[in-house]
Amino acid sequence: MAFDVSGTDLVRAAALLGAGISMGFGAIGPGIGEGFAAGKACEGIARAPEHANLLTRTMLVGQAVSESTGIYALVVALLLIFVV
Amino acid sequence: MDADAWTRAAAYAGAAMCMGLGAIGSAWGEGVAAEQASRGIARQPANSAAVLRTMLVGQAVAESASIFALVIALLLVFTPWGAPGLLRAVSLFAAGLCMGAGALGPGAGAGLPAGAACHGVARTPRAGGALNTLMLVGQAVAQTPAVFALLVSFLLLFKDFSGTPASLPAAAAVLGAGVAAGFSGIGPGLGAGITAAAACDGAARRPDRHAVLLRAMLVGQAVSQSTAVYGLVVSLLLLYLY
Repeated sequence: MAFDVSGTDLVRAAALLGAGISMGFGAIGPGIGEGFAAGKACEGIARAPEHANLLTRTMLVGQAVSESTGIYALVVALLLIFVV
Repeated sequence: MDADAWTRAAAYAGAAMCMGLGAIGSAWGEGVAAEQASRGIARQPANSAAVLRTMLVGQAVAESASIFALVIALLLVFTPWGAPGLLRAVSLFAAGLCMGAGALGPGAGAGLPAGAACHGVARTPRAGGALNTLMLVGQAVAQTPAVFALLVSFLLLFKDFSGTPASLPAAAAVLGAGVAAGFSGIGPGLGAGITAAAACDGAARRPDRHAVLLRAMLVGQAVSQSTAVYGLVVSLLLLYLY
């Protein structure tokens, strides 16, 4: 299992492992946060179904904002894979 | 130490991570279901049969994530993994880590709608059909990250590394693939469960509104699953580009 480790290899390895860590852990928050938003929207729709469209719109806007950090994680992961 | 010992050690460490992490979410989720079922039966003992049935069905679905983890752990322990080497060793550990972390969120998430449905069935027995449908559909969506993790674990286990020269970047890419697909499932699994639990709660209060709730639940869950899909994409990129 012997192999040479050069500085370039070490940097490349750190970037690739970092891509996995970035996307893996970066996905935790948005997933939970968007679930809360959708849950409260469901609660609201159960109480006031006539406002379902408004609630769905609000939910989607809120989820889009909460998604942003997940997209940052994706962008950083892709940068680490393809650019660094 | 020789390469064979390293590879076997990595497989055993991966199996331990897999079942150790994989047991947490499902057990917690099933506990939530049982807690809500007990509360419901304490208030309405007459409905105990329907509540018990809902609890057992919901718990069985929540258990599936940890059964995936058990399958991967047993494969890691009992399969002879062919030519040993750095990439084989890292891929075995990564497969275990991926499935173990991937079972955390879906197991816990699937327990939440089961609990809400048990509570609802106890309070509003006539909503039982709608509640069971909402619970099962919501749990199925919450389980998808566990299926992604299972897929990546199998890819890691059965990929042939004999043609790839062992290097540190290649090993890091393999480990990164497992981490990306595994840990990215925690949030979406939990989030989809929170959504499904709220939908079940709503349907218990207003059983006539279960159709509109099902639609709203699915839209919300679909958005909260997106980060799990990013994790899968990054994982496949790491596996097949390097």
